[in-house]
Amino acid sequence: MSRRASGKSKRRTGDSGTPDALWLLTWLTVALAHLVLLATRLANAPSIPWRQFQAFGCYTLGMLATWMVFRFHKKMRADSRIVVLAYFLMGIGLAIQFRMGVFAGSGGRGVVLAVPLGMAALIAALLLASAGRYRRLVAVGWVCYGVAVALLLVMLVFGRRYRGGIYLPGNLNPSELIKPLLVIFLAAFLGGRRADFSETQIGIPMPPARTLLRFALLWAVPMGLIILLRDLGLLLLLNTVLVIMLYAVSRKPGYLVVGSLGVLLSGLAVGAVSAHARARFDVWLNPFADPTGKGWQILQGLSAMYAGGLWGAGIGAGAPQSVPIVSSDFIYAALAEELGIIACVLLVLIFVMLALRGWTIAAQARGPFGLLLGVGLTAMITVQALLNVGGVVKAIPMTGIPLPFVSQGGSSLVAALVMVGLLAAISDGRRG
Amino acid sequence: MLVLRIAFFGVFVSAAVWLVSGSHRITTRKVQGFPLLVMLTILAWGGILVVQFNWQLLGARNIDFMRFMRIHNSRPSSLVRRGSILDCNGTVLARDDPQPGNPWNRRYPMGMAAAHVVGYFDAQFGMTGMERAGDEVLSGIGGTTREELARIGRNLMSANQAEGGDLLLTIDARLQRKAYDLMQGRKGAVVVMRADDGTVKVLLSMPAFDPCRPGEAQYDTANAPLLNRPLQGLYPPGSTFKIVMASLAVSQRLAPVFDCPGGGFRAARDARPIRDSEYYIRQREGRTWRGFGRIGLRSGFVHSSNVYFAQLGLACPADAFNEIVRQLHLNERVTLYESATGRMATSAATVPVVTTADRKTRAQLAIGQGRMVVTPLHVALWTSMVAGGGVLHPPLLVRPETLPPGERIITRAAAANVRGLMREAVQHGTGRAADIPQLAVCGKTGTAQAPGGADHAWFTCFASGAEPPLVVTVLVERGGYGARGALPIARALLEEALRLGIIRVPGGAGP
Repeated sequence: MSRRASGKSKRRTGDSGTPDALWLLTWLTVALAHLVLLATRLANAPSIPWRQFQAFGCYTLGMLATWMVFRFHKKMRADSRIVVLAYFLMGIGLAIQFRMGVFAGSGGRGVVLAVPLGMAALIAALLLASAGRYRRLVAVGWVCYGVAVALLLVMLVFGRRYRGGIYLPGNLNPSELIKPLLVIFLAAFLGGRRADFSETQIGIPMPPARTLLRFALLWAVPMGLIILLRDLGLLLLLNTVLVIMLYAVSRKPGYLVVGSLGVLLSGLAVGAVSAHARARFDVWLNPFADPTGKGWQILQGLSAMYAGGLWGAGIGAGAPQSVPIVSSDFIYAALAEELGIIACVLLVLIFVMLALRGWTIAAQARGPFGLLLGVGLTAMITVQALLNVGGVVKAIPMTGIPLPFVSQGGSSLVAALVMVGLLAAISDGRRG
Repeated sequence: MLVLRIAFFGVFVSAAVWLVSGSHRITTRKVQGFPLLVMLTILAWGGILVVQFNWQLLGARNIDFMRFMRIHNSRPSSLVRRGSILDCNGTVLARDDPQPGNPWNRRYPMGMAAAHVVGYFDAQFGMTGMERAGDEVLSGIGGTTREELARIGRNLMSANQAEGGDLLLTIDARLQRKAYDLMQGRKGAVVVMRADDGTVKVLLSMPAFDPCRPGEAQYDTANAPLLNRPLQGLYPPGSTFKIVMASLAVSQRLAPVFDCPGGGFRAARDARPIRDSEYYIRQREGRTWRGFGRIGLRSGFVHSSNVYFAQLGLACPADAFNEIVRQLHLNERVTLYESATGRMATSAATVPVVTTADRKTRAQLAIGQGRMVVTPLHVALWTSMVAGGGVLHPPLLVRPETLPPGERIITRAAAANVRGLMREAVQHGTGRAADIPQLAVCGKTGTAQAPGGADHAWFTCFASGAEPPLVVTVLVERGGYGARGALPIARALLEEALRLGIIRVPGGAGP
């Protein structure tokens, strides 16, 4: 792959780049959130918890560094807006985690470390993969597959179960790393077989049996391991992303129909086999059947939302700590309580815009690999957000998927930032 | 602080709006995008927001959700200031008393004395009694009318603390307290109600529990202090059921004379003889009981002769018996109060439906034994039917704006007739100790045999010489003879009611 020249346009930022003032305003929002929280805390305890500002400090430096890359890198024409959208979500997430006292405890160290790490990884991904260089990843598709399967095996052997998830020592959650790895593999595999996967018979997508069988066998290995790990949320997420990528490569809506049916049927099958899944489904249908037991978390989350109402209790002024594990899976309930439904609508709009921008970046990419990588990464972020928020508002059963950029969780944050970095890098290599 | 908050909100909104507006423009050249994916993304997020709106702004429409939050949501902002429960004179029976760390704390000034009727509201154990049945009023929730929804909406917009309404019971705290004091150390129930409108003045269950600590009573299975005996306790009514039989006979124009020998009466060849209690008393004293001889309804009732009433039961047509049982609601749950969140009701008493051929059962039921169990409230109800001149008023714990109409069960003349019998039972018969001449007390004792121990003691009565007609029904579990175990408590309650001015002797001397 040859390095692409920056073309005729010498604009420093992408063709709908971000004004410097918007970078500043985003940072200012996060800074003000921290200020309000600090003021609330000072009213109770007259000492400034400097140590807890480490994450915000790293965030500030990381943002400055990212801005400088976009501002001063001569040949950078990548889309900065998608990065700012992600940073906005991340900043609000850090503020609400600060508010929940995540950084006061020992569990916050991983997150504090993940902020500079993730932002550095984003910048690295941007610099290394921009100008079309991301296409080199097509060569490592099989490596990604192998690493993903190896990670799953490691988790199966060494993993410790904690609150339904599986973690390695040091509270690393490698399943977060598996997400981008499998997207790269899928983009490489499907991108090279575009014609095969575009074949249809009487409207139903029907790739040649050889290709289909080969893919099914390959895909069955990680999926089987995930079933053994009993991470049904991850299973649902990866297969949904797969369906979206199949649609993107073939542009046959039939994949979406067949995929939805497949998800529905396998959901029923899983429900018949797994008592754990059935329990989650029952809680979703009627949390009031066991309000103080299985329904407790979801009902406390909904209570937090109800308490928030239209305007919210005000940041730092609500009581979201009554929701169990609020800072990871139920962070959206805390946001809804303290910032109200108006802020929730805005945050959802930001997720929507992130997705829209992602789809467009993918559509503008050169070649099927870039298109699939863009679609896969965007789908990975969007479907995770939908599964998380959908579960918290009780639109769907809980899946145990964190909210990208916002939930507490170092591995999740790093993975999400890397994915955004890759998306921005793809946008740099687009035709224009 | 407020300035900071407003500044933050303003910056947040403007940053987000700026980020969102413009973000959809990225294409400089026509490229085939993914309109289907864009549409699906927007649809999915839109759907989620709709669901979220439904909880966050319209959650008040879900009564299960509201109930959950009433008990398990500790946020002061969304905690409803729960209304108080008051008695008929405005005395507080339950009120909110928020404590640091326990904002839903309730205070019960009557304590154990009104624990069952008031109930409790507890974070761990939920709600019972009128706290539960009246929760709709007390927490001001529920309701589907436009005005109610608008009120809920206003509360949300202003972040005002929602307020529930007060619940005014018909209970009289003074008389309830007196009943509680009188029943100390006993197990049983007391019901006091007005016969002319059905309002319940006392609803006491013993042993009681502390409504602030319902957990302690939870596991006392031997005494079952959580059981609300006047409504949920099921007991054989014994001779108090003779009031029903006498009413039936009188309205059927039956006043037969029967021979009542000392050896008792066999309803069928294979049946054990039904005997008068005098038979057993004399037997214990080593003497023999010669029987009442040939007596009519008056003597039979005044002396509470089982032998007479067993024969009377066979003389009354079976379908007339079934009919009066139905009219007195003896086979159903009688509701004292009901709202969307629950109801206060009795257990269903059971009185079997009889056939003409089933002589054994008919004879047994006529003396209030056999396969018949009722709640103390049921006994109070049929007493109030006589006291109210043959009209039965449905029992009420909260006085509605318009009183429900009573149902006529027997004619006024028939009721007067039975009232005369009950008066004589107090003047000359088993209930002599209850005679307070100025009140012209009418009553009936009951000594109900129950398996596994001593008899249950009943006394049910009213003061025919006073206004309004006040029915007092007392049950003492394992209290022995009704005249000894239950009667003194009923008498003391009538005297207290007179002293408090709850009943008055018309035109006559006061207490």
